[in-house]
Parts: sequence; C-alpha cells; structure tokens
Amino acid sequence: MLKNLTNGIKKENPLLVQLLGVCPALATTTALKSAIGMGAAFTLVLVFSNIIISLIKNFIPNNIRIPCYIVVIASLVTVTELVIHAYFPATYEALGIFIPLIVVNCIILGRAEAFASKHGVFSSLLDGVGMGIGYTLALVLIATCRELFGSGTLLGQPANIAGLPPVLFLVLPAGAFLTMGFLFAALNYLFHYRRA
Amino acid sequence: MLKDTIRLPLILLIVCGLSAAVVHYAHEIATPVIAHRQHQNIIMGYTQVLPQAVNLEDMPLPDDSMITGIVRSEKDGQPNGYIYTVTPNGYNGQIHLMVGISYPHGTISGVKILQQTETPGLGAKCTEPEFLSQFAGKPLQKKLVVKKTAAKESEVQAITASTVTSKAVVSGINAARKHYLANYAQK
Amino acid sequence: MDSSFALLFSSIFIANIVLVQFLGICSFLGVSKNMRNAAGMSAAVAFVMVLSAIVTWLVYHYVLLPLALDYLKTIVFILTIASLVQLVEMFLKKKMPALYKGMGVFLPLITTNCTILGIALLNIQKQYDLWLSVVNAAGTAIGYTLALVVFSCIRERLDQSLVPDAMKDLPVALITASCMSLALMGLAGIH
Repeated sequence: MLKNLTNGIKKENPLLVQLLGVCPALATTTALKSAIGMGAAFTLVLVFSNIIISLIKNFIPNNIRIPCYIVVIASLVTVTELVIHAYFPATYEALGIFIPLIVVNCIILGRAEAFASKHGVFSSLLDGVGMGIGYTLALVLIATCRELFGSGTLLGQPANIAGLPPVLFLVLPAGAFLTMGFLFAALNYLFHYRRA
Repeated sequence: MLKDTIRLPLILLIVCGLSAAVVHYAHEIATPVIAHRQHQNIIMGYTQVLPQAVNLEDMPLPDDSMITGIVRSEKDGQPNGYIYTVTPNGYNGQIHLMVGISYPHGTISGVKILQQTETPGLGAKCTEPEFLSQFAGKPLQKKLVVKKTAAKESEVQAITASTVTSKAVVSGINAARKHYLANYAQK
Repeated sequence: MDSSFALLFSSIFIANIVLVQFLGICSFLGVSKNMRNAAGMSAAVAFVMVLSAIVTWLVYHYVLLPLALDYLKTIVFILTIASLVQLVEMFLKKKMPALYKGMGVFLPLITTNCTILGIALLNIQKQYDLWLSVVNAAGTAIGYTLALVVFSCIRERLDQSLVPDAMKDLPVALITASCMSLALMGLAGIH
C-alpha cells in the first residue's frame, strides 16, 4: 500500500524521471509561490481524477474510455480553475493559461490509463497523492533555485545568500531552460551517473 | 443488452451530462464571488489613484486612442477629479494603468498599474512605489518626459535599464493629460 | 505596423510558443532527436492548429456565447480538438495517403499537445476576431516549426560532439534551448 504513495515521489517521479509535465515546470517556477500553487492545483485534479475514474471504470465500455476520461479531467480542471479564480486571485493571475492546460498534462491522463483504470479507489487515491507530491516537490526544487538566485528572495521575502547579487537571467524564459538543464545534469551525476 | 451504436453514445452522453452539471454548480457558486471581488478591486483602484473619488460616472471615450476608460468623480454637483484607464504598449505587450487627475488643480493624484507582462526584475518594477510615487502631485501644463536623472517637475525618473517600459507608462499618462487638457481642464 | 503583421511577427519570434511561452515542450524534447521526425511533427501541429483555431473560435462565438455556456470552454475545446484530430486522421488516410505517411504517426499525439488547446484558449482570452485568430495560429505554427526544426538540427550535431557524461542528451539539450530562447529575447520590444 505504502508503495503506491512513495512510487510517485521517487522511483517514478513524473517530472524528474518520466519527464512529463515539463511545460508548467518551466513556466510557473519563476517564484516559489506560484510553483506551490501550480503543484497544489495539479495534485487536486490528479487525486480527484484518479478517485472518480477508479470508481466509474466498471461502467465505462473499453472503446470509449479515453473520451470519458478526458471529459472527467476537463470538468475537474474547470472546477479547480473556478475555485482558484474565486478564492485565490493572486495564484490565478500568476498561473494564467497554465491552469486550464492541466487538461492536456500527460501525467493525469497517463495515471488514469495506467493506474486508476486497473486499481481500487484507495490505491488510486494514494497513487494520485504520491504523484502529486512528487511533481510538486520537483516544481519547488526548480522554483527555489530560480527565485533564490534569480531575484534574491524566497516566497517574496528577501533571502540573499552570501551577498551574491541576484542573477536576473534565471527568472527569464532562457533561465528556466538553463536551470532545468543543470538540475537534470546534477541528478544524472548523483544518481544515475555511470562510467562507461 | 442494447446495441453498441446506442449504448456507447448514451454512456458518453451521461458522462458529459453529469460533468456539465457539476461544472455548472461550481460556476453558480464561484461567479458572484469573482464578480464581487473584481468590483471591489476597481473601486479600490479608483480610490488609490484619486483619494477623493465619489459618485463616479463613466464619460464618453475618444476614438482611436489608447484611452480605454474615463470616469468622472463628482462632489456636490462639481467634478473633483477624473480617472483615466490607458493601455500603452510596453516592452512585452500592453500595460494597463490608471491615472487619477484631480480637478480643478489639474495635477496627477496617483498612478496605478493594473496589469503588465514586462520583464521580471526589470520592466516589471514599474508596479513598485519607488517608480510610481514620483507621479503624484505633478502638474500637467507640460508634457512629461522620461530622463535618466530627473531634475525638473515635468521630468520622470526612468526605471534603471528599462527605458522602454518607463516611456510606455509615461506615454499612457501623456495621452490622459492631452485628453484632459482638451476636454475637461479649467480654461 | 499593421496589426495583423505585428501579431504574425510577434507570434513567430517574440512570443515564440515553445521558447518563450513554454507550451509544447514535451513534443519539443520528445521528437527533436532527428530532423525528419521534427519536420513531420511540425507539419501535423501546424495543420491541426490552424484548423482547430477556426473551429474552436466558431464554436465559442456561435454556440457557447449565445447559450451563456462560456465557462464550459475548456471541456468543449478539448473534445472539439480530439474529434478534429480523429477526422483529420481518417480523411488523410483515405484521401491523401502520401501526406498521411509523412505525419500520420504524429497525429494521435497532438490531442495532448498543449500548444493546440493553448492557442485556442489564448485566442478567446485575448479577444481576437476570427482573422486575427487565424493569423495568431499560423504565426504560432511557424514559430513552433522554426524552433523544432532548428533545435533538432542542433541536437543531431550534439550527438557527434564530446559532452560530459552527466550532461549527455537531455541536460545539454535544455541548455541549447536556453541559448535559443536567449537569442529570441533580443527581439522583444519591437512593435
């Protein structure tokens, strides 16, 4: 049971291992706050979509399952978008188009197809929570690097380490690619680095 | 068992119907909250750029201009200020800002950036008080110009390394100034 | 500058969908290992993007708005795009087998390519009329093609060069993308 939860955090981390959901990982990580908002919205949709799909899987004929999943996911995303717009306006502004685009985030449809449609409700819930946390942690990692070194703040509070001047470049689009490139290189070096 | 040609669309229809119902319900709850907050934000913006704003009334808009909104504030039947919403082109797209002009003095009472997509850390600094506070109290007789180091009253201190953004904001204010002088200013 | 031309220029370069707006990164990293695949994917995306921009715009303005159902747009758009992709696939398979051979394998991937839904939603959000929506979609498609094809050419060369082990493949590709994005930044501020 516990394996369902931890699987998404480390072994099958959606972003760092499976390389899915890269677009929001680049676009919403300029500040830690928006990364956490994105991670929370994503986790919410994923957990509910996993629960609902594992509940309805027996009623849905096999050949129309994908359209049904898409409808369920798109509705969940729209509800999430409305909730964020109504109660977290600052997050809504910061994430913009990337909230509705959770619909086409391959992780959610991928988990529905690969996990929730084959497992019970409780396992699917755990899987959703695990994957959500894994994805959020990866976003937080990137956003921390970019906000700390790029604007010299953390969660909007000044946090200048060792008196380094902020490297504005990291907050710009080009800096997103660079941060992620070096992050992946570091992970390769630390965990999968094999001498030929 | 029903035939697949009927059964499959039927199931799809049920799924769509249920989903639409849930979304509709969420929409019913969220919309008033969103509308209320947006209304509050606009009112708050008005009082930020024109502290004496009361009894607001929409004024006719000029064609072919970056001015997208004019509101007159009136006290005891006398106008006491005007608020312009202008959208000049910045470095990365349109900047939406509000300019308050107090009447009859004809001075700027405040400027507020409503929406912008300028470069973070550079042009995006246009939302900070450090840049915006210099506008309050400026007279409108002369057109405002952007300078690296502002000395005169009609000069505006540019944001470091973001001249395009600074110029964009000032061009919006100048558009409001021109319209105000032509239509509302005391002769 | 004429507004539709300015929009075309900005959607190709300044607001390049992949390198500046970060949409479609999955396909950008996934199919850019060789130029043939990159070109096939770009053609498929370009075709569906312009088509879906027209259809979603019409659906939004002639179906959703009159019925006051605009809050259902995300759901309706994704379904429209998914059906459109199916139709295009069937049509090409039957009528233009040569074209189908070139880009057919990429078509099913397009439904979950966020550029298509992204552009459909952005056209509505920015309140473009039908013509500007088409211009925006076409410009974005050109920008996508440009980024993907150039990137795949660079990656083909990178395969031949000496790269530290830990940086091989993905990290060095991302750093390349960073340089390309930096180059486009130089064009911002042109109106």
